Amino acid sequence: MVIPVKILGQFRGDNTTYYNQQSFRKEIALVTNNGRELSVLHKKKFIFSFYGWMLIPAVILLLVITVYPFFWMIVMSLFKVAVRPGARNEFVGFQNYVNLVKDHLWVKGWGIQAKYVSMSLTLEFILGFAIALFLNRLRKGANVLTTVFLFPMMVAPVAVGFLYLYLFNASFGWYYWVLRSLGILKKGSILGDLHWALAGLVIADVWEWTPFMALILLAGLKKVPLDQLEAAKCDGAGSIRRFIDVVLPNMVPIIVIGVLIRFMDIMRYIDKIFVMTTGGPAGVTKTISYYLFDVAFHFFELGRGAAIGFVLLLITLGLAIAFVNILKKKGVQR
Amino acid sequence: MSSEKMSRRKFLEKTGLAALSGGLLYAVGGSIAKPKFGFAGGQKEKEVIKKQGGGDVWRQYAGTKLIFMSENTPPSSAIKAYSKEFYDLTGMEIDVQQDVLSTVQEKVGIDLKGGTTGYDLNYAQDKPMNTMFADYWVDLHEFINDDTLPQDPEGYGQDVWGYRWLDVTGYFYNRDRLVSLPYDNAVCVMFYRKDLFEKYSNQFEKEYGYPLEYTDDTTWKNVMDFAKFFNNPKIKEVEYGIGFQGLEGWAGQLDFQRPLFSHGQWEEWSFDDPFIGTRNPGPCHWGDDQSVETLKHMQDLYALGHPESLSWNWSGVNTAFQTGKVAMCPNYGEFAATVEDPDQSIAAGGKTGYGMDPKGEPSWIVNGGKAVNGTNYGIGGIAINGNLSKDLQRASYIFAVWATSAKLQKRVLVELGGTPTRMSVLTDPEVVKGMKRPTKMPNALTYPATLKGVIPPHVVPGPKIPKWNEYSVIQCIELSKCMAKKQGPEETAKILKKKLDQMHGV
Repeated sequence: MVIPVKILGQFRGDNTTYYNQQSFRKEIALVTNNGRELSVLHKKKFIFSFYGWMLIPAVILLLVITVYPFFWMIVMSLFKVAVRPGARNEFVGFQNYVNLVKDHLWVKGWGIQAKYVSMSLTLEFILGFAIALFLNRLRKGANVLTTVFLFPMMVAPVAVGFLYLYLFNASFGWYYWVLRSLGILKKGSILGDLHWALAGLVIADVWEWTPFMALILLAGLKKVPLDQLEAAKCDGAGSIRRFIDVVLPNMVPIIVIGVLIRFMDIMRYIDKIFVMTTGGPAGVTKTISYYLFDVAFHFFELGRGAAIGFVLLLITLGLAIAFVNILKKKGVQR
Repeated sequence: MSSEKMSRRKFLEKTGLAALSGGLLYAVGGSIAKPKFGFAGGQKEKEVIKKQGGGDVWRQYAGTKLIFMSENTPPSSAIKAYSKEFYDLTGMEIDVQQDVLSTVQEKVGIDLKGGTTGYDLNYAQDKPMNTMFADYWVDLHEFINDDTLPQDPEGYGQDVWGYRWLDVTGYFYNRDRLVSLPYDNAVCVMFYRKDLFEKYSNQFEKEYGYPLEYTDDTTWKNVMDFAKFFNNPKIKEVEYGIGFQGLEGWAGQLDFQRPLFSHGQWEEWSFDDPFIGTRNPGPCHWGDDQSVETLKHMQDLYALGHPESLSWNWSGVNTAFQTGKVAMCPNYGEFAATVEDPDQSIAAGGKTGYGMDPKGEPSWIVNGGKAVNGTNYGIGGIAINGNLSKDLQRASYIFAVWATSAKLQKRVLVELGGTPTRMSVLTDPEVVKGMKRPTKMPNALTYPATLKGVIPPHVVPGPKIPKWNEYSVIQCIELSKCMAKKQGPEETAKILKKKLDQMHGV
């Protein structure tokens, strides 16, 4: 890292001896490439500095709304929370966790979650990439079209749930009518059919969140170095070869970000399920996150719900970290 | 005048500190000194009113604001519309917040169990809400006998409400505490296309050997015949004979319960008194011969129903009926208002008949029980948050008295299509007259069937158990698999036996 001594000098005066001291060397290790006074911020007693004071309300707020509930969730997962007023919560150790393994809905929920996440994510990625490539090549009207494509993403997930509930409705739904007319839907139900219901949810999710993926990937495409593309073209590489060998490797960091964000989002979303199927029919759309909602706020088994929530969090984090590590190992993370 | 200027950084530092200190002071002070509510009159005045009893007992809490968290049902919408009248009468503001039942359940549950007072009054739906929250609500016995509070002239005895509706929504697991007053009723009856039944009567009789008529003696087996007949593509007016409401959760639980109870009055558990319920129901009856036998026929019945039946609740099946997708559907009386509205429904204008839920088919009964017209319902009550201060509980009680009064129930029924719970309204001469066409009270068209269905031997109040919500989900999932023919009746009954007993630690 290049040490911007001149910039530091503006703050400290021209004191060459000081710059050579060990303490300063440690300090400057914190200086970023931008050469801002980050070292000053990180100096001892930072917490009592002006910036420290200014940050305290935000830190307290963060602690109150995230850290405290997080630890409380872990504590709660070790208790059987009382179901009657005045009764004491009963400490049960890891019993709530042990019971999860015996819970058929919890076990089955992971399978449904895997299907829902993988189908949604794959489709959103492929369609999002296609839209991004299309928008990237547009010379005129790209801004207008991008705005139009982004529209579904701006709608609240609950509203999207209602929209698709109506579109799939057997009495007046337009999608239902189209699928029936084309002969794709033979028996006559989307959300009431054990095979179609999950697909219905995936369609709604893909409609809403493909634009997000497209937006992220479009940003990535804009960053692909033109000189590399031109060089590849001069070397006779066709468009597919250029895409595979130049565009994709340059896009990997942005793909990782996009996929990670969507993965973590889909893992926790229940809005559409809540509106469209409530986990049915026959539990085929009861993902683990919806089951968590059921247990915690429908059955009001708060200890059990906390245990499900904590396991869901750990697995989501574990999968996300594993995904990033795999990409790092392959040397594609930059 | 000093010419010294405070630096921008210094200024931000000072104001930031001042704001932080102020905020902390406010938070600490607020939590200690925050008034729970305000009176228009002083404490002395309130005491005088309480003691005298002759003062305007309705206005003793004037200036208070109450929040009522309710399901988006017609009576709640009506109450909301009449909130100005409540204000004029009591000087209290009432904020009626409405949502779907599952959201109400979630919000109220967090409020009650968290020991907070976000909602003063709660919609107390007998099974999904009350089985879990009854212990958290105020015991109304204390207020009912308090002469410093306004009381309804009819009183609150069992006989002033529909058959044991006070028990259904007010008492849970014992008679120690009365937690809510009946506020609205949703009783299931059979909606059927009377015009089509008349039109195709002869044709049906030729094919099936008996007339196409819907009566109190129509059995589930007859309903299967009707459904088969209307499923014939040659009948263009409707797509399917029948639609159900098997959506996972409460809708599905009620839907499956009707045919199950109709055959030998079968229930999941034995109760000393099913209208009161029990905390420990013991082993369930799933897996016995009757449960398997009824499931076999229900499987065939559902196979004839509209394919969307497993995803519909009451609204979904109602839309299907209104738009001519199905010729019959069991549904709740309050939906007659929309079915009879020509702007919303092609089944309006005298085309719809309302009958009792179908009777059990005697040949399907193997437990030696009776064949009855299994009728179930949701009786919604008004309950008061037990975390409130005594004064706020009393203020809330005033609202509960007003909202469940006969006078208001009748007005709501006549003007907005409500669902009364007081017998004086259900038997009011004007309402009785409205039970026949032409009527200005379309919901009243369902009352003859309702009033016959909600009494023994037909009525099934449903299992009042603390784990009702979990039971309904487990049962709906397995029964839906069975109805979709993914699982056989015997296997389904066996699985349910295992899972429900496991749920209760049996």
